[in-house]
Amino acid sequence: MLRYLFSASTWAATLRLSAPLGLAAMGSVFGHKARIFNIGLESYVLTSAFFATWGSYLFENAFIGLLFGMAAGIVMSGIFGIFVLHLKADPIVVGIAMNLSSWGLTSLLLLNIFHIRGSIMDPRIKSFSTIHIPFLDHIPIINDIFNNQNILVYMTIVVVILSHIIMYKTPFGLRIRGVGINESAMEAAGVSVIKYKWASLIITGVLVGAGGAFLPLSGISMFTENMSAGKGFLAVTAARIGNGDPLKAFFACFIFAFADALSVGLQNFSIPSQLVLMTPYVITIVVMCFTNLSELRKESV
Amino acid sequence: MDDIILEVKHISKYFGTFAANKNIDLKVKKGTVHSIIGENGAGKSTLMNMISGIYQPSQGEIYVKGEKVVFRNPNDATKRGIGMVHQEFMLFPELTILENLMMGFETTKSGRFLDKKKAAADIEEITKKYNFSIPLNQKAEELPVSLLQQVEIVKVLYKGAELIILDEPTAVLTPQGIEGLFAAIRNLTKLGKTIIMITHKLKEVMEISDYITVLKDGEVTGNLLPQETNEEEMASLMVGRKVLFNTTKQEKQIGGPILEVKKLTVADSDGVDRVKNVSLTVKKGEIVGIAGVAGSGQSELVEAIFGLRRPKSGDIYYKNELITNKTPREKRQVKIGYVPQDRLATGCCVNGSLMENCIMGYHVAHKFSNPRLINKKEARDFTEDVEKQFQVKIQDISDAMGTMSGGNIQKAIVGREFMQDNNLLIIEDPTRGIDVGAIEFIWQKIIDISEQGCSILLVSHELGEIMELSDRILIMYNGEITGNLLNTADLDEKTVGLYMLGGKKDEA
Repeated sequence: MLRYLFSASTWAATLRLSAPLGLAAMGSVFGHKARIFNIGLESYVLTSAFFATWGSYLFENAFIGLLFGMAAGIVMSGIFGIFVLHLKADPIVVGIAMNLSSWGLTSLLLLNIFHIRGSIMDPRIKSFSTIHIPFLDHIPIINDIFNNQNILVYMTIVVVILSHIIMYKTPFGLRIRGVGINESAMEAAGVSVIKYKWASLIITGVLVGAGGAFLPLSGISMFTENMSAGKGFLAVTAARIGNGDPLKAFFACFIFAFADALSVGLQNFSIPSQLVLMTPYVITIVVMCFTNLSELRKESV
Repeated sequence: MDDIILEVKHISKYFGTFAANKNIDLKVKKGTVHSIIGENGAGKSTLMNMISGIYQPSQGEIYVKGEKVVFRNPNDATKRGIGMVHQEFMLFPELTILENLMMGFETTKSGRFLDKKKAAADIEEITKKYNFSIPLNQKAEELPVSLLQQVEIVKVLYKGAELIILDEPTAVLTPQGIEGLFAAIRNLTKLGKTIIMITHKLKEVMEISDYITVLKDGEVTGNLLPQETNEEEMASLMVGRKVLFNTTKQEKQIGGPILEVKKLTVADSDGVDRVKNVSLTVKKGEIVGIAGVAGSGQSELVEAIFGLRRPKSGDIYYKNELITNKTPREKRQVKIGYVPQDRLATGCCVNGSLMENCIMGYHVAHKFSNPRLINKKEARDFTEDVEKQFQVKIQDISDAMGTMSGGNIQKAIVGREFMQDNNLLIIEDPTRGIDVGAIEFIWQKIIDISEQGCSILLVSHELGEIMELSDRILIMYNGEITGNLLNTADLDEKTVGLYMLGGKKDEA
């Protein structure tokens, strides 16, 4: 059983499953660093998954689907930003409202556009394809894990590295971090706080939108109600575990994805499926506990 | 006249109908130190915020080097060579000093990436020229306040400031730190920079200034030269009446020990020992002052004594009874009072009313409640007493605490603790950031209550305050009590300052 669990195919599945989470977590990372607590990411993921499906359906083109997904993400960020940054609403209330309404909204649109309930599958919905990288063929385990993945998986790796560079090597990243640490010092340094908060929100929209688009467009070419299934929440969690550091946040995503991949593998064994499906979430709680342990120790007097 | 670097003409600033600045004129000469003094709320900060581009004036004009300027934001002022060092440091604790200095003013390579090497080289050139030494790669949260202040000054120099505004720069420094700052200021003016210093510490004004402007209620009430004036004149121009800085003390009886701390060791939240093996005694009617550089362990000591932090080892006795592990509530019940350092976060509830705040902490311990309900009438009477006796200015006692000025909030908190006939009061920085009138008032109250037999443990970062009030001074350095001095007439600030930096140690 252990041999199965730690086989190359589990790792390959882990990498594949970490990609949508990773994209969304990179979006959340920028918000986290700019100190915007955006619990509404779940709604971003679900909404952009729907619109990506629709875009792909309309144009029979996966890339346009991705653009639709990103646009949906930006619109969601726009709604969040107007309420939170300008109308000074409580970000948690806004986030929860968005999460709940996106559920209804996508089901409604599904019914109105596709005249269907539950889920939509259609040959016109095109997915991104996998890529074969010839030079990996000769490296044994690496080949099994990294080769023949979906194009979006490779894109995710690039996005993670880019996020890290932007966050730590550019003036823009420095300012985003500054905004999160001390707003009045930012104003005193002559930097517009609101501008950078908006910039971080837009990035969140684009990346979480891409993460949402990944769900229907990575091969299955279908949209189901409540397809996000907590991925937005996991992305927020990952960003918090990594304290806004892109690499650490992606590592957290990787752990969640591994748990997810395990739960798929464990279904072949005689373990109650409900328990198996719990694994990712149990692991989330355990990881949260461990990362916060040092904090807890500090606070206890 | 081309040696006037900054001129402000007939400037006014209104917030609604309230005039924070009325028709102010100011001329600042290049290469001088120009002090702006006044009580809190006199409009000093408003004026400086207009000069540094944070506010726009409602009326009037600003000229830099004879040229009329309009600042729409702080960047405009920076471009004209005006830099401000705020009282609350505008720093990012989790970032390195280098990143702090670069923020908003980044040097880049190939237009996109931060060029930390070049920035570091540029900054080192400045620090060498003006004789500062700051570690660029350490995080800001790891550095002491005096160094952070240097960082702030280097920051404005790095942005090309010719005119540097320092807002209450000495508030956070030790006497030695202040000397260091003044040396730096002299060095800066010698090299052609101009300094505007906002302060209400008159002794320092006399020492460092070339010119002095006094503000009161948003208006200029005097333009003085330090060699032609004295502290009394400045104080009366600031307050509008005569101020006596010397509190009146009467001979008093000092009795037996009330509080005894024995070999107390306290760790902070990171597990580092902040208080090391400290023993001290406070006798009945005695005022014991604890002096020390900020962060020497005073806060942890006080928190341990009041029960907000559990000590690692050692005992605390109060009236010969062991109280080490009692909770703050139990301590209040045996008549120990506490005026915390952070009046807004720990001292009161900003959104609560004055009345709620006045009975806070005593609602169970004392008379305000029958077993279940608060006795509104008692509470109201008590609050009105506090209001009257401690001159708390508030429209209605059911108005929120946060609507009052800092000085009034502090008076209310001090009043609450002082009017409970406590036997021991632990007081931390009672006059931090409040105006001279209120300081004088609170000092006198502390003296009065000790004469009535209350014991006081006073912790202050203001050495002058410790020297003025204490019967006995303990000096804390690096978590230990290094000095125990009787406050006699021949004790001077220099000696105490030396102890505070660990330069001297009692063997006793």
